[in-house]
Amino acid sequence: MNKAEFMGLLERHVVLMPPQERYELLAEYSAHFEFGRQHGKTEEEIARELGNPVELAYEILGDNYVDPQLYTPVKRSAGARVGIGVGLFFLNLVAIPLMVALYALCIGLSAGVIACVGSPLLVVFDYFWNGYLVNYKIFMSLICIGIGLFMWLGVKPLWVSSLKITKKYILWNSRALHGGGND
Amino acid sequence: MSHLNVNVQFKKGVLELCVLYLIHQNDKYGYELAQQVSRHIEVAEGALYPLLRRLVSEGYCSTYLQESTEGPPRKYYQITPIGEVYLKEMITEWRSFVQSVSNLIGEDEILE
Repeated sequence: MNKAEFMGLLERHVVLMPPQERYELLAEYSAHFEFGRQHGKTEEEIARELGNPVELAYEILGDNYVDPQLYTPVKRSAGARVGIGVGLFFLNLVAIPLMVALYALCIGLSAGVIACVGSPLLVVFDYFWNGYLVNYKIFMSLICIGIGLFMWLGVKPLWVSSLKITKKYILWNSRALHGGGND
Repeated sequence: MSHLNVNVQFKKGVLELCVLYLIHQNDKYGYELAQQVSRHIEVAEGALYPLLRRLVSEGYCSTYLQESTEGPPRKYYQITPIGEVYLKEMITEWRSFVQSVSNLIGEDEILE
């Protein structure tokens, strides 16, 4: 390993350090090479004496060390992007109707909730229309309110998770296409 | 493997004592320290720099730059008063540790 290789590898693995500290530390290693060369050593000898850059990075950062492969974004080539784009197109051909169906379910159930909770309005309307009240209709509407509120307990989380899934799915699509992220 | 690891960990602990002692003798720059340490202990010289950085951040050492006629400027390490106190403590601890270990293995006559 020569100086450029050593420094390149070290720099790549300490990229998470604060810039000022990183700059100072790298300058020390770079100077070490210069001093070694003045003493008649080859770059390879000096690099060997310094040790493995990855292990040094681990020592420098301690618990803060993260393998650069885990955070260096993957750059996709144009060809790969076209391939992934075609794949995503067919995947979306299936996924989008599924999501439409999911939202249709959400909307349908929500309409049910609104109808149930709003049922007293129908009783009021009925009263003005016919000019008298029928007891069982009042009780029915009260029961409907109960059913509506009960349904809302299930419908609300359904909305929340549908929106979450949609957001994640859109993000995943864009990450898959443009590269980057953790996968 | 585990034997090697123990050895590495052991050296790392001792390295701090040696480096601080060498700086206590007189101000030194990184390469000079590496040369002097590796004359006595087999160690990855690159490990000195993280160690020096820690010594500075813990206040045991300070640094100053000195231009040299040839090559890059030298970053000298100088021991601080806190560093002197810490070094004295470490040396005391080291001596008693070595004494304890010698006492322990001295009881066995296998090596005689």
